[in-house]
Amino acid sequence: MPSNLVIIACSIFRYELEHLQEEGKIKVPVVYLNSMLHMYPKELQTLLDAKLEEYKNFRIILLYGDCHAGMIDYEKNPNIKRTPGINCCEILLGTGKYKQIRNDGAFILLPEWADRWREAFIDYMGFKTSKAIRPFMSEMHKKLVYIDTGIQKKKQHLFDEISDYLGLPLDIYPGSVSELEKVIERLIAESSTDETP
Amino acid sequence: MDAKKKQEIIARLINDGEKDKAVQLLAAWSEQTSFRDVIFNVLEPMLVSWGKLWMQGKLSLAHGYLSGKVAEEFYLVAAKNPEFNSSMAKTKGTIILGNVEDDFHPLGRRLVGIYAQTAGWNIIDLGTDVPAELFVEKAIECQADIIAVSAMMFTTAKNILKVRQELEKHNLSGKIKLAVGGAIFKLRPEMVAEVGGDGTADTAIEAPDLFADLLLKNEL
Repeated sequence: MPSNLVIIACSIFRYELEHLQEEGKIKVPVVYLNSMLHMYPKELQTLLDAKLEEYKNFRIILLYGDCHAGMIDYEKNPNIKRTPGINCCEILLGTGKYKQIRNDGAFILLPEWADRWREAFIDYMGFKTSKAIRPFMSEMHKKLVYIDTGIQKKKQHLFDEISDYLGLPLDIYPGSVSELEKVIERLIAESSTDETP
Repeated sequence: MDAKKKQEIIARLINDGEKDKAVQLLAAWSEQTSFRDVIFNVLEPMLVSWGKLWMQGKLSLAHGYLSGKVAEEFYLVAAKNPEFNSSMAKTKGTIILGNVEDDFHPLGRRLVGIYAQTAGWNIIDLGTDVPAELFVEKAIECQADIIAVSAMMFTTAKNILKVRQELEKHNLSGKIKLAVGGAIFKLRPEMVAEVGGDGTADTAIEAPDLFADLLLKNEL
């Protein structure tokens, strides 16, 4: 593995990546950007560009979906390997499970966002009341699905709170970190076989 | 009360998340003056100004959604008023509107629908994550002139090609125009042709002009 390898990731993956690091399954340093930037793609692009510039002499594994309009351009850089997947949910679940849950009309909630739900929906999206957000959510979704990646303790009180505010029932999907682990392993291997920059 | 003051009141209600109250108040003002007056002097200027703020990233998702929703619900109220209907010009044509398969970013699409409706287009909005087959099926059923497809990101924009292929399968290319829009096309204008689009507009406000141009091409 090259010594100048770094993972630049959305903080939505923080719990899962820290778990993999603790287990010794990832021995690469991880740099996070705030997952709330999802709501502001232009700002995300500016900050991510700056972060990639900061690590320009590194081999970079980029843990992001298609989260801003210029994301695809990073793949032209031979030093950057990006995870496949349209968004964090597809990266974490794999395409098959992601599509299956999405096709059921679910809004998928990952553990980091569940813990920060007030920040995400009230502070960043701006839905200050339950009355304001309920029609928005129900227009596109039939339910919420929390992906339990097996790291966080189940927080029924939190789930009840989220479900009540957003006005949708919440199911828990028993997930894991295996898809994420697999894709990172592959990208580390690919980064290691390429010529050193 | 002048139009400016009314705009401020509606903006405050939207800011507080009071969608239903905003619609009710617009309807009440319409009884005092007319639906046409409220649409063109209160609602539309406010939407144009908020649309610009939205494009600059200065408006929250909630503001964008709720302002669009207020306009949409108020138009439904107005549509039931015979006086308003008779005052409106003949419809310019029918547009099937939606976010392409896998795309769940409704705000731009919603704004396009509102501006186009105000400009006299009959809008049939299919919502988000619409399969290519449904776009074309609805266009045939409603004898639409244009299919307008929105996609925010590169990955989802590529799915628009399926709409073009579906149009070709039914021998409708050229007869029904395919308008495409969303952030990705502003950044990558070459993608309009790559996904089989007949044209795009940089902003939702400009969409009605694009539709008019496409209709003209249909008639030539």
